[in-house]
Amino acid sequence: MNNAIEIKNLSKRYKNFLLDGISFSVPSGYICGFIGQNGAGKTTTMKLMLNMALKDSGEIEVLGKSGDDESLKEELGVLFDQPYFQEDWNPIDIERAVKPFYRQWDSKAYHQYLAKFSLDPKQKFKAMSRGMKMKLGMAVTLSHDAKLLLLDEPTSGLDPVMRDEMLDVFRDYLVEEDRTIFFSTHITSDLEKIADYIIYIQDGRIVYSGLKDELTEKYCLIRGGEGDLPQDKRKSMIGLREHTAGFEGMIEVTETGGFPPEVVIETVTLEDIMVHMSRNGETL
Amino acid sequence: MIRKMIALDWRAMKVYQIRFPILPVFVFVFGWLYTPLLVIPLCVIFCLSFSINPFAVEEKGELNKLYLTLPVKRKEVVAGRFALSLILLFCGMVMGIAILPLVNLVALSKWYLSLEWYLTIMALSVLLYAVFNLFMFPVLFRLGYQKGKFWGFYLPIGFFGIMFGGFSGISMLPGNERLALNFLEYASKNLLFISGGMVALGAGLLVLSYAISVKVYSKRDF
Repeated sequence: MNNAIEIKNLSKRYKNFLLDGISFSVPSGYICGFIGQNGAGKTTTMKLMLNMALKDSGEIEVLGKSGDDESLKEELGVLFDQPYFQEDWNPIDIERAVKPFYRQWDSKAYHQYLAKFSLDPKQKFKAMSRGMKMKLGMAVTLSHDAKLLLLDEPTSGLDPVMRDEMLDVFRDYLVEEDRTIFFSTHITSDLEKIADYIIYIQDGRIVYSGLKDELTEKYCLIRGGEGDLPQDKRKSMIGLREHTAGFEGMIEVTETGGFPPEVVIETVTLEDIMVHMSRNGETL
Repeated sequence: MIRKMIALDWRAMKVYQIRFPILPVFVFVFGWLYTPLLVIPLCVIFCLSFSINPFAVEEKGELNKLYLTLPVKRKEVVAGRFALSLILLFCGMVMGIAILPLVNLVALSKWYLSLEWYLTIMALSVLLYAVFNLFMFPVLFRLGYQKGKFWGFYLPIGFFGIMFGGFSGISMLPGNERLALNFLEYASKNLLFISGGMVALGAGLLVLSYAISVKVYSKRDF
């Protein structure tokens, strides 16, 4: 299996933050969710991948090329939480500005996306809603035959209908072979719908990298009344909360034996995993 | 690639483009009220200021981040901005040469310059442009517009202040009373040599400015 992204021992130190020698890889053809709390290092990692921020050490390889190789960006579609266009530009200006930089630029596809997203080619960027801006950013991102989409919080701030539309766009993009999406977000419900692979970063360190289903099948939520939590299970509980009526927390599925039959066991979502892990700084 | 960067920078300052036609009007009025001799240097300095607009828009529209998502090397970003600035320098020269005879028609003090004097004023303008460029561009590439504009404007003022103060101080020393006059006399007799020297010095400063800009911009985190 080819890897679209290979990161080895990547480090970057800021005044109040350290990206601490992270390593992970993303297989080609997957939608990979890059999750973590705000400030965990998601945007820093993506900026390092794009050479926007300069690494202190480590190796970055994207689509078989070094992260320092600018020609790589011909094959990348990049969208951050706000597209970087000038306020006075309209979609036609934007095409004129970015088209010369991409050999594979497809004007027909761009205008089809504008029509599909109901964007007026003459409407100024500053007059667009956030959803329209993101759709415009996606139209640009998808119009130069990118092999890999790097998306940083592309759905944050969008309403549920708009988010669902964006996810449809991502699905359509993946219809062609050998295309990959690396999608950073803290809105894990989006990833529940479309991601197959998860990279979880916490405080500048990768705590999980692998298939989403393996992650969600590994844990379960457990709830019980007062006295239902055996003493020897306390250490296995992740993000344990105890209250007057009982307890709740997360635990590995293999550890569920030994609880009284009254406890309630439920499957976990990515959000549950993030919330419980962050409660006591556990690593997976 | 540099051509593409020039086009992108020019498009990025779309909001400022409408101000460009005002520059010759302003220079004409200034030359009319003061002296036509200032027309060419003013045009050049205004065009240099105009070429700083991409720095002004880049922070608001996060233009640097757009550049770095495109297949462009950082060095090419710097080269593109310098090239646009040099084009505007050329425009400033042409604008000044075109306006000067018009100002002479209406100004109280008239200056009908020989070709040698034209060249000297143009060379002086190039030197001024290069000095301001050296103080502004590397700082703006390093700090961005909001932080950099302070240093970019005040450093050259400080530099010229020190130069003027230093020269005045030396001129006041016993035996140096005629230093400025002697220099002007020598310059007026060797206009082409002085002009060539100013252009060469200006070119050197521009190369230095470019080299520093490339270095600082390549180390900047966004």
